[in-house]
Amino acid sequence: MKSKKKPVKPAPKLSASEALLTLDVKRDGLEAVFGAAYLMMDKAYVSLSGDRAGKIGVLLRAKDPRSVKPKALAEEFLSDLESQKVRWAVAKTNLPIREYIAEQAVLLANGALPAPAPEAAAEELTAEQRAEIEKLISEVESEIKSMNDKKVAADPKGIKASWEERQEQGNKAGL
Amino acid sequence: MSRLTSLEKPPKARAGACAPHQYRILGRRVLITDEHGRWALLTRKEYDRFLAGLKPSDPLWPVLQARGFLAGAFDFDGAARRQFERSLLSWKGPGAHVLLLEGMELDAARRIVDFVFACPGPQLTLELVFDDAAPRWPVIWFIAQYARRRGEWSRRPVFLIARARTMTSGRADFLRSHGVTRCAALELAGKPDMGKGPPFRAQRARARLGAGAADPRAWARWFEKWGFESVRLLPSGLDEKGAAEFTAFYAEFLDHLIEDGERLNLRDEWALGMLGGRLWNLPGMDVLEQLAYDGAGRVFTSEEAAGNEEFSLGAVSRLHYPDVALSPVARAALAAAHPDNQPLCSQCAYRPFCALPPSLNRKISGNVWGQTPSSPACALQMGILDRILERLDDEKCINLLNKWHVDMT
Repeated sequence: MKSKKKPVKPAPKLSASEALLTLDVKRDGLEAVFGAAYLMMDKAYVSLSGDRAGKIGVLLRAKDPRSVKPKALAEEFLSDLESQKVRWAVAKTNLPIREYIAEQAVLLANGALPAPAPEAAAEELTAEQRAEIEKLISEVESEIKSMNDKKVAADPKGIKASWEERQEQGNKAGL
Repeated sequence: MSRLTSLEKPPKARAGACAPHQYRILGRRVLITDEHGRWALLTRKEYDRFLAGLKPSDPLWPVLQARGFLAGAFDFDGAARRQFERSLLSWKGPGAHVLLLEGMELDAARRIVDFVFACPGPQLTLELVFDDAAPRWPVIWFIAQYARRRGEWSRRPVFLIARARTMTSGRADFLRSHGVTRCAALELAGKPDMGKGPPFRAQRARARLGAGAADPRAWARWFEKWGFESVRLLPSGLDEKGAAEFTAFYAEFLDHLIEDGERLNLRDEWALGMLGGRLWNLPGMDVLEQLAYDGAGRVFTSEEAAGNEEFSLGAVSRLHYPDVALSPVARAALAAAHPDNQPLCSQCAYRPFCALPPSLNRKISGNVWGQTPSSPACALQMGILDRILERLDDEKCINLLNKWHVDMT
């Protein structure tokens, strides 16, 4: 009878600034290793080396060495690696379910939805509607004119007028 | 612990036991969600039992079966329907059109409104953005009238929003009488002065946390007192510190809304946008949720992207709506936005409610894909969802969401 061996937690090789972990791809899974490495990007530079089908070396170096020690980085990586294994196991075993649901949803979309009716484009307005737009624009233009008139009225002493304008006004007045 | 959170000594997941789901540790509980927005809050022991395979005699079995988390008792038709309703298969077009009025002339305004009405979709929202209404008034006046009429002709509901820093009460009244929602662009500094109101009477607020913004509960009371119906809080800046400050402020602000939910009529626009569970409801999502137009009539993938040529889709005078889907810019934005294409998002429990706009990624990380594990925008949105979802077993929170017409059952 085969005895069940308890999985051995990989021991990191630590230096003053880095932690190196050697992982077995068959045991840990390539996706889980990649996933855990990606999640470290906020606090560490991660370098992967080795054989994708055999052993992979994961080198971790803190982005801010003062706040995180290499040992803590290695522990966090290993913790995330374990969680990644669970996430990937759930994802892989459920792949057929997700594929089936996606297929059914596409079929539902193809069968149940009529083609969208084209909306009325600007070019397709009726003559009546065009006339109404022109009327609206002329109303806005008169609004702009009245705003401009108000602006003139708000400056009775010509304080805002340029030097040339004041000279011109003076000439007109015969000064 | 990474941003996704991780389980200490997780058990092996038994094949065929649990249906597709993601998990997140929230305090002492484990939140599980499926990709269509269904959820359950479990204890750690319950989650371990779930992963190992529940027996039908387990009291948790009917709860998780009803919510679609058991592979052996899965409702395939229901899941397909939800997938159809919540995925891009049901997307009809961008619903929000942000018109940046700075430097916009009448002719450009008319062309932009025409372009907006050439976009499909059951309803359209035009949001006019300006600092002061006075210099832009003719264009505002025209768009308010013209868009209303175009809406009547196309028989589609049209919502108009005017977002400004300031406007006179006369102009605010004109907009109100023409059915335009007023949104005040505010900066919250220090504690609120309850006796001093906003620059103009508005229903909505886009409130950026300014220097030393403090006492979120008092700010919530201030918004209530001055008649605001909804608020979207924004961080002071998009860095780690800004995200952390924002999350703390938001948490207390939301606590106040939940605790006083029965009486208050103030809504949180983050919760409304995110819990809708559709990518095209997320505020600021490029192309899917919004398009933006500058004063010269150029079309951009979102307000955040406006002015950046990389995100320009063309000019309204030459662009036709069907061309938007063919544009490499729009395609790149859509590909980068979808959580399935983001390593972290695809494993995140908040995947049904959250995604980062590619234009925001570009701003933060220098490319549309971004780097989610180190993105402060991701930290901020996760912070918001943590605050909401950790209270999903609180009756007050559920009552408030129901009041806001957010279905989280």
